[in-house]
Order: sequence, then C-alpha cells, then structure tokens
Amino acid sequence: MQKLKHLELYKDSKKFTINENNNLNSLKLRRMRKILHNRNEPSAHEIRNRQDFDLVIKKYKPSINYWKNPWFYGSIGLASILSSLLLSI
Amino acid sequence: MSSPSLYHQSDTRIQSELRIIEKSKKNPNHFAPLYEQYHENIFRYIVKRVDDVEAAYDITSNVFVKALTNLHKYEFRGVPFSSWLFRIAKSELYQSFRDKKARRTVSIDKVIVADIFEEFEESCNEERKSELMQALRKINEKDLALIELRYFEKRSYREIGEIISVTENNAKVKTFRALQRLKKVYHK
Repeated sequence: MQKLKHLELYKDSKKFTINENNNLNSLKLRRMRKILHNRNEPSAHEIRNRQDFDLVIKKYKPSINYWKNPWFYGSIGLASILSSLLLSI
Repeated sequence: MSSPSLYHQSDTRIQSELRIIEKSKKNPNHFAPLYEQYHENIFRYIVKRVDDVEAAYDITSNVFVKALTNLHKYEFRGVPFSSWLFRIAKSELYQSFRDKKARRTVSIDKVIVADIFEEFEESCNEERKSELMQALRKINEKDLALIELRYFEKRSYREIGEIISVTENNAKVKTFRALQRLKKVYHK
C-alpha cells in the first residue's frame, strides 16, 4: 500500500515511466480483488438459454479495408496524374 | 467445476472448424455454429473472474463480436480456434476491469482450497484458509491467472500454454514458479 501511495504521488510527474504506470494499475487491480467462496454459477441450460447470436451480428461492424480495394489505388493514381498535369500547365 | 477440454480435437473437427471460419469471413451468419460451440466455455472462463453474472454475459457477447470483426486476421497455426477466442476473452476481461465495468474476482471452492494445501503439503484449517485468501489477494496478476487456470479450473498445461501463448513446457515451468511465489507470500 505504501508503494501504491508513492506511485500515485509521482503519477503526473515526468519521471513516471510506463512501467511504473503498469505497476500502479496492477496494484489497484490487486487492491480491488474479491474472493468468492463456493459460488453458484449458472447451469449449462441457463447459459444456453442466454445465447444470442442475433445480438452479436447486430453489434458486428465489418472492418472496411480501403487499401485492399483496387478503386482506392485507382482514384489515388488518377488524382496524382491530374494534379501533376495541372501543376505542369 | 472444471471446464471441458477443447484442446484435444481430431483433425476432422479442426478442418470442419476451418471451413466454417472461411465461410464466416465471407458471410458472418455462418459463424453461428462456432458461437454455439464455444459460448459456454468462454462464459465460464469470464464468470469466474468477475463478480457480476450479467457483466459476464455482456463481456462474452463482446468477445464474439470482436472475434467476428477480426476474423479476417485469423490464420490457422496449429492451435485450435478456441485458443484464439480465449486470448480475445482475456483482453476483453482486462479491458472491462480498466473501464470499471467489472470487478476482478477469484472464484474458489472448498475442494480447490484442499488441493492447494495438498500442493503445499500442509493440512487445511480455518486460520490457514484465511491466510491463503490473503496471499491470493497479494500475488501479482500473472501468477494468479496461472494458478486459476491450473488449480482452480483444472486445465492441462497444453491448454494453459495455448491460452497464455507459450509452449506446454513453458506453461508448466511458469505455473510451478507461480505456485512457489504464492507459497512464499502465504508463509510470510
């Protein structure tokens, strides 16, 4: 706990390195740790009933890779030819 | 409750999974069989580490959304698809701790406590149990994660290795060292 206080004091100073910041997060996480004994977990049936693939599909946003599309390079190429032509005139 | 092993899969099953993955890259609706197959395992992994069951369901759902979003990056490198899912689950779990949406929890039962004392070659009583709980609060996150996977969830070293991205032997060494460190903190 002493170490945590010491790290918090220096958190905003320039001397505070990324490594120390990680230690601080780790210490905070440890302080927050909760231990549960003989916990009742949901049954397999209950978990199966909570499956919702439609929600996953709803939340899913496909990543668009512009650089993989030939149109991306085509338009960039065309724009550079046009701008070089304009500059040369 | 120990989690069912997903790591000793037949080649046919792995090939069938790969076919589903390839189809899902083109059409995400094809991902449904993999979601149904792994949902319970991923949920159980998460629920043991968070105190709120509803938050565990949310995190599980986010794991599959992230898996689907990054599916185009997935390449088969000899490890089962579940290993990739567990790595996403781990990252989502720690993200939710950082966002304070969930609280880091250690789920432990009587049998597990007895197993740990067996490893320590000591008898189990109430005072010692409370000291062990204090030690579990003090050890670092990496050691706790290894102890949870091996002793609380009864996973094989191969599974642990694939979840934490190290070899089976390395997982064995790391787990042994984590237990030694727990023992040291417990005896302090």
